[in-house]
Amino acid sequence: MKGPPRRPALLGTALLALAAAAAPLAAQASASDSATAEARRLLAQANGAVERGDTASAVADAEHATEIAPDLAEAHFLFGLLLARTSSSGLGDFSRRHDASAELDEALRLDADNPRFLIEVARLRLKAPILRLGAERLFRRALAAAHARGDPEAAAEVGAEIGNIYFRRYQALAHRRMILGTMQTFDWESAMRDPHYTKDLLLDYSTPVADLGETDHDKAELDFRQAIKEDSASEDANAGLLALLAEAGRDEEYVDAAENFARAAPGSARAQLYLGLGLWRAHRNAEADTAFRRALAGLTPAERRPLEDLSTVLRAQDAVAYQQLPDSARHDYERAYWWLTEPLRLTSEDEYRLEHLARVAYADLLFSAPDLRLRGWQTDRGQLYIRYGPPTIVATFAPDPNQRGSDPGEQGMMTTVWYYPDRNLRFVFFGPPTYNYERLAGDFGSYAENVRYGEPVTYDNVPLAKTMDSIPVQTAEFRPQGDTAGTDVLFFAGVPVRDMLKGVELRQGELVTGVFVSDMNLRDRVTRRDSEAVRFAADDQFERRTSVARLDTGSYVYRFEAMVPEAERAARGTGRVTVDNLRGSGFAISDVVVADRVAPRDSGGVPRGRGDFFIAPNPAMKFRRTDQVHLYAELYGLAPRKAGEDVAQFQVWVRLRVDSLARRSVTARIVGGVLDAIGASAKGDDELTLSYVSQESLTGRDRVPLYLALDLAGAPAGRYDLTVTVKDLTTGQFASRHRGIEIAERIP
Amino acid sequence: MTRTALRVALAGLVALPGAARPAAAQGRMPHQFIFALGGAALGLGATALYSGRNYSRSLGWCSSVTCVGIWTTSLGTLLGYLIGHEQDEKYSLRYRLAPPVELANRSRNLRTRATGLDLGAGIVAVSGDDGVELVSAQPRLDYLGQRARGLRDILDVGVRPDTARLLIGTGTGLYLYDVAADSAGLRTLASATGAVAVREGRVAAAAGGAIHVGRLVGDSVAWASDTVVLTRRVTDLKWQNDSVLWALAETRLTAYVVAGDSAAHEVGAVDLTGLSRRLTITDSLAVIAAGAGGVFVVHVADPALPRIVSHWDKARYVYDVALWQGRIYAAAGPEGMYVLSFDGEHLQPIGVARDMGFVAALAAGDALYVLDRTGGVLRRIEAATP
Repeated sequence: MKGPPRRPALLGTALLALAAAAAPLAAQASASDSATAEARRLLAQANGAVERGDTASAVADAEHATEIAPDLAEAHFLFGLLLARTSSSGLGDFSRRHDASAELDEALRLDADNPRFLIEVARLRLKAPILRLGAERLFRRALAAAHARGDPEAAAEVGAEIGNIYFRRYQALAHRRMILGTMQTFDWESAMRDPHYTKDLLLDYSTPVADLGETDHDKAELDFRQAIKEDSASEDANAGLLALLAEAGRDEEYVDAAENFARAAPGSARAQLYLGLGLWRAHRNAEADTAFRRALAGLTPAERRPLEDLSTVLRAQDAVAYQQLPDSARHDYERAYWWLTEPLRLTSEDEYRLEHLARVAYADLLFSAPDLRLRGWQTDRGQLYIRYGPPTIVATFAPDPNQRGSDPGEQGMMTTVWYYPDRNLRFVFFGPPTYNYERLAGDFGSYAENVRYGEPVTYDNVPLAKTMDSIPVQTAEFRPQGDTAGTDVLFFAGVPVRDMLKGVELRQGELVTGVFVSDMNLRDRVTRRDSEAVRFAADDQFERRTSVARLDTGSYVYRFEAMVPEAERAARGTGRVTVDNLRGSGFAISDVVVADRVAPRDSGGVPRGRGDFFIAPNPAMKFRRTDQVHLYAELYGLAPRKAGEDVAQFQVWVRLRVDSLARRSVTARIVGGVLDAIGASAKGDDELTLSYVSQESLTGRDRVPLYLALDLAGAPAGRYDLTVTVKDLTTGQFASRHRGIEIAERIP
Repeated sequence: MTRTALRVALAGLVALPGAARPAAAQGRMPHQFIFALGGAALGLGATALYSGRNYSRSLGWCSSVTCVGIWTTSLGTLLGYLIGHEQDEKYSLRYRLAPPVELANRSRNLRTRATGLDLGAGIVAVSGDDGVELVSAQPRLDYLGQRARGLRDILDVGVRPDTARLLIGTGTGLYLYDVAADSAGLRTLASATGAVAVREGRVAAAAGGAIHVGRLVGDSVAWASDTVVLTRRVTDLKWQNDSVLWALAETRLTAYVVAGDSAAHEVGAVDLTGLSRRLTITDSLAVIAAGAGGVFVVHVADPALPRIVSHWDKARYVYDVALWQGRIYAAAGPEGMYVLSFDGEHLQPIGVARDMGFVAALAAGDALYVLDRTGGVLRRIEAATP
């Protein structure tokens, strides 16, 4: 991360640690000592290799430095540090850890009580299960040494390590449940096999153990706070405290601590990232957005990648394809992803993206395991947290003392359960206590992948998502009046105002609506926001909203949105519209508007367009069985019947075809009923056609409005395909438009 | 045998570090020794049971009563010591600043996730994630109903004592409700309102980066056209008297004089440390909950010259404060509630009520009202600490 790296993340900042460690010795080194000078040159070279990511060369250089200058403490330190940081806690790296320990011990022998040497030795101890208990003693020694040398940065670093030891002990005990009855422990296989097992066990057969781990929690907090007093910009100490506060849901304290951290470390991207998490959880959305932007801007592309990476929230096969994209295409994909998933463009922030970043920050805080060189978002828990957010119930179960399994790696592991009751999702993890590393147990890895296929990500915990309603939108294209280029696209939206205002105890408030139309390159073509006062208590709310946009030929994506800010309630409708060119010289028909009512206004003249009609559109194109279906369309480019005569003659066919029926067995009879009602000709059991010939004067108008009403006379519930076809009887040209309408038993 | 076992147990006790000093120092018998003795007694009991039965040949190399006695007593002692030690540590951390104090209280379960409270007109108004709950400020804490259902992001609540009007500041505006009638509210300001103060007919609100001052007139608020532009986020507002208004903004406490219906103007200020949260005020003192900065007592008899007279920063985080029956009460979240004495110069913790839960807000009147956020409970304390 950018800014002063307070603690080496891995190897990249070993140089700083080395420089700090070597400072007291530098003065002692004799410039005339060529071996020492050569060793220092090698150390500088090793650090250069580290920065390039060439660990093998760095290790070789550092080792060579220890050989030619065996009394140079910093050489042993760097060599030991490199070995330590590149070793895991597994048995396979035992020898490497042993060598690292020997080198660090030698560095300590040469420069006793150097706090930074002691810190590294203690960190190495943390990697060895047997020696882990002794790490705290070494850290305390390092703390005393840091105080003795007046090194507040080192003191804060050690304080954070000690705090982390206690915090991990607390995490191993937190959310602990005691099982009631005859069961010995939480059974992963039963949880996998039986969808009710987890719920039953959590609600009926186990009880939370109160206050367990409280002592460790309090000690950790005191240590973190003390470390921050030593060095207010310490990334480790602040991250430790923020993790503790975030885990406990102490949101106000979290925000204050994060603001203090950001103030103390103004160049730290990590501070901004954590601040963004706190502000977002505190509903300070605009400030959270700013903090996240600053965090991302402060990172190098490599550091930014995990935060912006979408692999976790995509289906597995999509994630593979996404990973294989070149950088520019991946960037476009990410932009398109957030553009499409943004819940509401009416707000100035993308709530889902902020939630995503907040989840990544939380995963980094809570699930990172530096001993194992794992960042939180790489772990199973981190990935599931990023996908599904905070689990409603977290429970931990002690290791089963009677466990006898074939896999020694699974002995003595604690079990953690995450349960999301709304979707009955349950994830079971296991891991060694106090390591803060847990992975999915048994077959839960496969289970998680299955869930991921069905639901790659959910944002249920975002307040806006909880109340999000849908807006049905009917689009209709018309030729503009006059010589204007383009096509008028009308958006008829059914804003569920009544539902959005239900239960809100206000006399009146604000309803904000917006229409956003973008081309397929995601460039905004129409951005329109409106605000209107609404009376909350009114029984009858006007719910239809119409918006017109002039668009060129092409494909577009539209969003129609509405929001009641006071109640944090929102609704939206999205869709795709392909705009035709209706301005050609030939015969054409506009879209057919499906409406509850179409009636000519009483203007006295010949209707010249939709402005001369009262149209009550039905945005959802959904009707009751007893409703009439009204249709409106415009005909363009009709040819006069004879030269010098301004009368056009055309034939209209309205075809209603059954697409799907709720009760198929009654198809023939009911469709027959419709047939009788409109006096049309039937073709088979599932289709009927109404046809008539009309003559219209073309005088003074460039279009002929077409409107009619269908009486469905109790047609069965189902989906119908409605086609309006018109033939210009003079030229023989055809034009046709389709709509899908729905007949329902009841409309709420 | 018994003597040997006891010697081993006592030797173990002597050898173990005396980590329970903080607990002992506060007048509490360390549990580690009591539990160690209990564990030793259990071990001896088990040995006695063993010696009375004929199990001696089935336990291998340590089958003799002496050996079993030594082992069981030692283990019992050690186990008891460790359990007691853990309890002592927990006790010493919980009460590291002050001894425990028990405050008899009545409680009322709340229905929403409560965030703050205000007191006035004989009611306690508790703001939450779905409106404001009203509870009678009487010993029975009768539930009076809920107002402003559906209103989100409530930041502050103010109750006008004499006419029972409720002002609710949210992230979208300031809303006025009638406490007595279950009627819909009216928006009186249309920008985010972080703090609101009501005194008789006067209203002050920090909204949209400015302080607005107005008067409650019938069913609405008549706002003065002049506002005071703010550069910091105001977290609390309080009227000291009819003409002096105090604003707490992040690290500064500022006094404004608002004479009649004229514009407010700043007359004095004092800088604090820590991001301040809440303010309570009397004729001469202001007490401030400054989050991680602790508690400040500021002398405010002369608004032009406010000065800090005392500061206590030992609690991890102070959410709210109340002045009640001569003592200062500090809501310290998961630490409970600290009771502080103030002698005019020094703040001294005299007790901590840990059993209050997560104390997030306080309000003082005839009684002290405590909001326990974790438990979702409103508590009423009628008698101060003994």
